Amino acid sequence: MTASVVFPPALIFVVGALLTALLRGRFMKLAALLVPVAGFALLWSAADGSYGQVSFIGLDLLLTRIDPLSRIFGYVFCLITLLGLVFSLHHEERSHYAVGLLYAGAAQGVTFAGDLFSLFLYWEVLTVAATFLIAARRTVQARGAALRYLLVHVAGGLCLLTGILLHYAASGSVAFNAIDPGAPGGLFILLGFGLNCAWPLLHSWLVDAYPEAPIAGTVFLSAFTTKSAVYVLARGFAGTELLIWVGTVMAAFPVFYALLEDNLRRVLSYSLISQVGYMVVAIGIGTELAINGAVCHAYAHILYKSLLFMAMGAVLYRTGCCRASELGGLFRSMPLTALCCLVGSAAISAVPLFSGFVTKAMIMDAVAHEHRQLVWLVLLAASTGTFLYAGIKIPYFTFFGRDVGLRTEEAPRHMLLAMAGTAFMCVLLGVYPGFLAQLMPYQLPLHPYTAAHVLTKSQLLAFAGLGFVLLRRWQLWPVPRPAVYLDVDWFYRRGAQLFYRLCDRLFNGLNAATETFLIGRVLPNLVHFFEAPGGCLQVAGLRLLARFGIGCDTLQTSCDTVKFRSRSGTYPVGIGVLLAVLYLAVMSLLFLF
Amino acid sequence: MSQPDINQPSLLAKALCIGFYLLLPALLACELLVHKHAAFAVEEWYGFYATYGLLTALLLVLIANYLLRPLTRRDEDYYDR
Repeated sequence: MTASVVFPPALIFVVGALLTALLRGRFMKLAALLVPVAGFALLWSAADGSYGQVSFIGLDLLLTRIDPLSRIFGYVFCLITLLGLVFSLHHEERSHYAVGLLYAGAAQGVTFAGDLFSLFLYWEVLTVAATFLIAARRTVQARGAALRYLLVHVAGGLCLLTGILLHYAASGSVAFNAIDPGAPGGLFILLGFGLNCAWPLLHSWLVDAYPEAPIAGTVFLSAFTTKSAVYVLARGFAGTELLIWVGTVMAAFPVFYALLEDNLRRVLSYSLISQVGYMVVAIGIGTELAINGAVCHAYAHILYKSLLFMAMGAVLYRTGCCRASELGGLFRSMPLTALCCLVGSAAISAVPLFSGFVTKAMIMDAVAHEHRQLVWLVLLAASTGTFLYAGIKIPYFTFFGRDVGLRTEEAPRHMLLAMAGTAFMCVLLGVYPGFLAQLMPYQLPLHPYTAAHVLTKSQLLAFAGLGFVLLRRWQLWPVPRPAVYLDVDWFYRRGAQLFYRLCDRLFNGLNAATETFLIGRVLPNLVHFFEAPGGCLQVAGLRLLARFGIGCDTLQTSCDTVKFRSRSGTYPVGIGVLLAVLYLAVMSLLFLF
Repeated sequence: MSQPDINQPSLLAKALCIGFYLLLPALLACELLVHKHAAFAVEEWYGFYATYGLLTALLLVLIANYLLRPLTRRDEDYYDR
C-alpha cells in the first residue's frame, strides 16, 4: 500500500504533543500512546522517496525524505517512543507526555529532514525539549544539569548553524547529502553533530545530565539525542577517516569511568558513550557492511540501553536509590525486573542469542575487513569492559551480591510491560537476525551464527567473567563508594565558579574602592567646602600666599578671623561691594564678547 | 530454630559457580574442533580470545582502580562547595 500524500512524521508527533497538552487523565495517556503507533503506520505505508518540496525565503526545503537509512531510524524511534511512554504511564503531569512527544517528534524530524535548514530547526527543538525533560525531576541537581545541558547544546547548535551558513554560501544549496569535511563549513557541521554524538571531550553533558533526569525522561533521552546524531553522521560523513579514531577513543575511555562510578545510571551513561563509539568507528570506515553495522547497532543499542535504564529506573522508583554501594540482593523483591535487566545486560555484552551479538559482530567484521588491527583490538578490549560493567557490575550489585536487606514491591505493571516488550525485542533481534536484515540500508548477507564466532565470543566473555571472579577474590575490584569522578565538565563547572569569583573580586572590589573614595573622601570634603565656600576659598588663598612667604606670621589669626566672619556672615560692607563690582565686571565682559 | 543467613550462597548459586568453572576448560577444548576464519594473525593463536578476555579484564580494572581513581576521585559535594 502506498500513501499518495505523506506528512512529515514529525508533524504527527507535534500535533500529538499539542493534543495531549489539551486532554486529561486516561484520554491523555491513550492519545499519547496512539501517536507513535500512527507515526509507525504512516511510515509503514509510505514508499521510499522525497515528499514535500517547498521553497521558503529562497531556500529549497525537502520536508520528508524516506530511504532505507532514514526508515530504519524512523521505525526504531517510533518503537522506543511507544515503549518509553508505556514505561512512564505512572506520570500524571501533562507536561511529561507533551514534552516527551515533542522530543521524539524532533528526533523524527531530524531523521526525515532532507535539507540542512529544517534539520537545524528540529535539532534545536531536540535540545530545548531535552532540557525540560531533564529539569522535570525538579531537584536542584536536575535544574543545574539541565541548564548546563542547554548551554552546551546551544553552543553546539551555533557551531552547526555556522557550518550550515558557510556550506550554503559556498555551495548555494541546503540539501542534506554527503558533506566533505574539508569543504567550507564542513568541519563546523561535523563538530556540531559530534557534540550531540558525545564525542570525547564533548561528552560530559551526557554523563552530567542523564543520571539527574526523571526515570522515564532518561529512557527517552538515552534513545534520541545521540542516535539522531549517529544518523546524521552516517548520512553526511560516512567514510571520514577522522571518525575511526574518534570512535575508537570514544569506545575505550568511558569503560574506566563506568567501572569506577557508583551511581548506576551514570555507569549506563558512560556505557552509552562507549557503545556509540562503535557506531562512530563503523561510520568512519564507511563501507556498506560498516554502515549496516552502525545502523543495526544503533537499532539494537536503543533497545537494550533503554531496557537497562528502565530496569534501573524501576529500582530507583521502588527503592529511592540507584547506587551500587546501597543496593544488593534485590532479586528477592523484584525478580521480574532482575530478569529483564539480565536480558539487557546479555544484549549489551553481546552474549550469543541476544541482539548485541549480531550487531557488534557486523562492526567488528567491517573493521577486520579493512585490516585495522589496532582499532579491532581496542574495540575487543572495550567489549570485555562492557561485559564487566554492564554485564556483571550492574545486575550483580543491584539484584545479587550482598543482600543489604531492602524489601520492596515488584515494579509497577506498566513498567514491567514496557521492560518485557523491550526485552522481547532484544531477544528477537538475537535469535532472528533476518528481522534486522530486511531493514538494513544495504542488502548484504548476514550470518552471525558461525561456530567460530559463537565460540570466540563465548571464550572472550567467559574468561572476562573469570577475571571478575579473580579480582573479587583478590579484593582488587573497585569497592563502590559515593564520589565524584572528575571529567571534562570540570573545566566549565569549576571554570564557571572561578570566573564568578574573579568577577566578584574585580567588580565588587572596584565598587568598594569607588565607594570609599566618593562617599568616604570626596563627599565630606565637598560638604565641608559648601558649608562656607567663601571662607574656604579665602583660607586656601591665605595658605597659598603663606607658602610664598607673605603673611606667614599672621596666618593663624587671619584664618581664624576669616572662618569666624564667614560662619557668622559678618563681612565688612566694602568687601561685599568689591565682590559685587567684580561679578558685574565679569558678567559685562562675558556679554561683550 | 535460627534463621538461615541470607548471604550464604544458595545451592543454585553454588551449582552455577561449578558450571561456570567447568565451562572454561570446555570452551578451550572446543577450540580444537572449530576452524577460525581469522582476519588477523593473532586470532589464529590457540586460546587468543580466552587470554585476551582475561588479561584485558584484569588490566582495565587495575588501570581504573589504581590510576584513574586516585587522579579523579573527589568528595561527593565537590561541585556544591
